Amino acid sequence: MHIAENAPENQFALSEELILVKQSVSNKVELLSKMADLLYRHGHVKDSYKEALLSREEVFPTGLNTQVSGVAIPHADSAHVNHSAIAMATLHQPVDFQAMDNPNNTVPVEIVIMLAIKEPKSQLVMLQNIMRILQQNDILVSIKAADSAAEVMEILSQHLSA
Amino acid sequence: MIACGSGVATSTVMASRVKSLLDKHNLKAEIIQCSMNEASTCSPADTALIVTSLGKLNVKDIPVVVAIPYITGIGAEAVDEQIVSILKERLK
Repeated sequence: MHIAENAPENQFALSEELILVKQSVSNKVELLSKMADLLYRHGHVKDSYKEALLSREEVFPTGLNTQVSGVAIPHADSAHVNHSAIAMATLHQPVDFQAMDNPNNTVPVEIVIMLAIKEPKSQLVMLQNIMRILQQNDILVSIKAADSAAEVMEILSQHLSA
Repeated sequence: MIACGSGVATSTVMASRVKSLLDKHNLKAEIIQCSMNEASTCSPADTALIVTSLGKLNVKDIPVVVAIPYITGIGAEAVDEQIVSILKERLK
């Protein structure tokens, strides 16, 4: 299932195969690698994407404190992306990320939204819709509680149609 | 005026919000988007304001506003006010 945004080349791929729920991982690198591998296996990103994303997260972290829980929005430069896509993961136990506005601060993250963005300027509406999810407590709560990728997919489909 | 995100997603969303603010308050300014790495070199001398996601950014004497609230939604209106008041002052 693809969530369309006007022209076909602006579609963000998002499907159950790209959603992992209630993950148990030791650290953020393990989780980010797993999610990046998913995107790579589905052809959405180049093999350079994972490394770029991990490096970027170290220098410019993407942890955010919302009113419900810590959320991270890792992403890497468009040069490493073949096709725009979103991978998501919810955590069984929070995993530490550093905060976007202050890398010295730690954010215990429970929801990770990994973005592969091909054309940021022409995909503004989709980006805004994704960011809006971060601002709606009830959506975050239901994503956190979801037991299956299908359930998360259902929640996202309702809120991400452009 | 520059909207500096640390990547492509945050700065795009921030730039869009700043543009609406400019239009709404009839402020004339150009918006340039840069990556954090380019920040010190990509701002022209007459830059009025830097809007960014990273608190540590320091470029010459240009005021910096951290606009993380535009992403999380918490305290976004306060950031709007901050940006508008700095710009009204600097763009006189």
